[in-house]
Amino acid sequence: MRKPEISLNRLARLLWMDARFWARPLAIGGTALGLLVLVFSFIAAFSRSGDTFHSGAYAWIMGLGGLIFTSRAFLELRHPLSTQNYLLIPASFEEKFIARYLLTSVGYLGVSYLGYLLLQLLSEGINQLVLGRSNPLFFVNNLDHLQVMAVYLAFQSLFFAGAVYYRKYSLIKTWLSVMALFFVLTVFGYLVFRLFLHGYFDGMQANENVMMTFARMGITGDLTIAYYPFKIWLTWVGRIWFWGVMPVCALAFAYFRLRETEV
Amino acid sequence: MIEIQDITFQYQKKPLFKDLEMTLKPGNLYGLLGKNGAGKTTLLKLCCGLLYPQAGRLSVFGRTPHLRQPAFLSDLFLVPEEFLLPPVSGALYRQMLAPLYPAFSAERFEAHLREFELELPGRLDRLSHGQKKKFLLAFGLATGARFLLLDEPTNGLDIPAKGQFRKILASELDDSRIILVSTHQVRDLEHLIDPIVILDSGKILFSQTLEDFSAHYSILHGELPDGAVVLYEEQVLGKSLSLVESEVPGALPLDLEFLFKAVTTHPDRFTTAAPVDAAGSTRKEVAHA
Repeated sequence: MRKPEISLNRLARLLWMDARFWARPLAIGGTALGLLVLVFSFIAAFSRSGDTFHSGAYAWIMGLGGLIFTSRAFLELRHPLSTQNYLLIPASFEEKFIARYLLTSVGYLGVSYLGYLLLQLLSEGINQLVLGRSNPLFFVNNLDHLQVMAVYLAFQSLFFAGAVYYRKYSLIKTWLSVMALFFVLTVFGYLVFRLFLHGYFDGMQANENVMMTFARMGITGDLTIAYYPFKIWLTWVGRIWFWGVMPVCALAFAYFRLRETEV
Repeated sequence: MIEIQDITFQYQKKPLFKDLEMTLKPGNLYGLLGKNGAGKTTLLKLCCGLLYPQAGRLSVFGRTPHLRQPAFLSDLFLVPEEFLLPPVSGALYRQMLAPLYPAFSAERFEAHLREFELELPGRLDRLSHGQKKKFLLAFGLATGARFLLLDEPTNGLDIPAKGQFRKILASELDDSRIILVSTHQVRDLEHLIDPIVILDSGKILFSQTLEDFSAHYSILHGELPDGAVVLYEEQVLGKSLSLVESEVPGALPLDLEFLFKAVTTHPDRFTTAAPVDAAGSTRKEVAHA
């Protein structure tokens, strides 16, 4: 066994190396996306239909763009020759892992948001000059926006794990794996439901047995109220799974997979 | 010091090393010779932690390679036979990686580049293979890493560069360093690599210093003295070139290619009972045919 080793100096250097390496592809991709945003923002302003244009456009750039970027986080691992270069960089697994995770999660969110702020200012400046009107600007200024970003980060952890695991087409393969996972969980849930709780339901509707059971437990009256504790419980299970178990498992899987990588 | 003890390694279902043992001591430039598929590159990868042994113990200057600790990685540099350089300039490459090697010497790096007649290049991925190799060799030798692994270092180098490389390599060897060179081009590194380790089908057939070898074997062209024990011979220019046991006056200088052929043709006659030790000397048992 070995102890995790983290040096802030090396971590900063790795981040700088990664940022330096990604600067060019991100600049090219960003420029192409920027041009599209300018065109569509102009069309939206022209047709007076751009009330939510920038919030929608940024959601796509953050969500889809972020997942594409995350899926390419470990490009080196796609080829044995670049894998050996990466593995032999004098830094610990932990530093390499944290550097890539920071870059693709909060790093990407921060850079994409700041970039989009500038882009929307430019596009609406042009719209105002040419059309005499503009679309409303989008700012991350309330809890809902932050929650959307947090949801993105939870999902992003799955694609981060996929980037380490799949050597090629990791975006599509991860997406299919996530779909398959949800399908399996749904089937599992349905089977549990049918096998253990079938006596309480007619199809998907609760039958009289439920009310009788609740009555035996001393719960009577409105079923909506009777179900409430169960609903609360189920919501908490879902929250713990989505915000805790899923990202932690995905990141732990990515870390150990990276540690076990050989050439 | 590098200690390899009872290492077992296999690819899928293809066994390669079984109970492999070897000790490499600082201050030596080891030549690792072997046919294609003998396991040379795999051994280098095991030594630098790119592959994990399935059993046994491997220690490089007291560290376990497959843990890939930063202190281990900064004390090691591998120049692989095939490699990729990133799409960055030579200056940026140095700026990014050199600080991760505490013993890196910018002066030595520049001196090596000058020796190779190479200026600090622009985009590294756009260089020719030979230029890339010169750049990587210059960088690797300047890292100050105590363990250098060079896999076919002269492949792709032009004729002047091979001479320059020999000069640089000789200048870089000191008492603290272990340089392990895997090569098929024995002529390129003759008189430089010593001791010699010959690997075949995952086994060490031979590991000796040249001094030890010369004390026990001789290469003779033509007539043989009475009672000579011939370990290997072949016809050259109508006369037989023979490798005989015992030191014989007037013997020819050692020819690594000839030695390699002799050892790989009759491995049973050169069985090494012990790995190369501190001074490179080896206890050996020669089983005569």
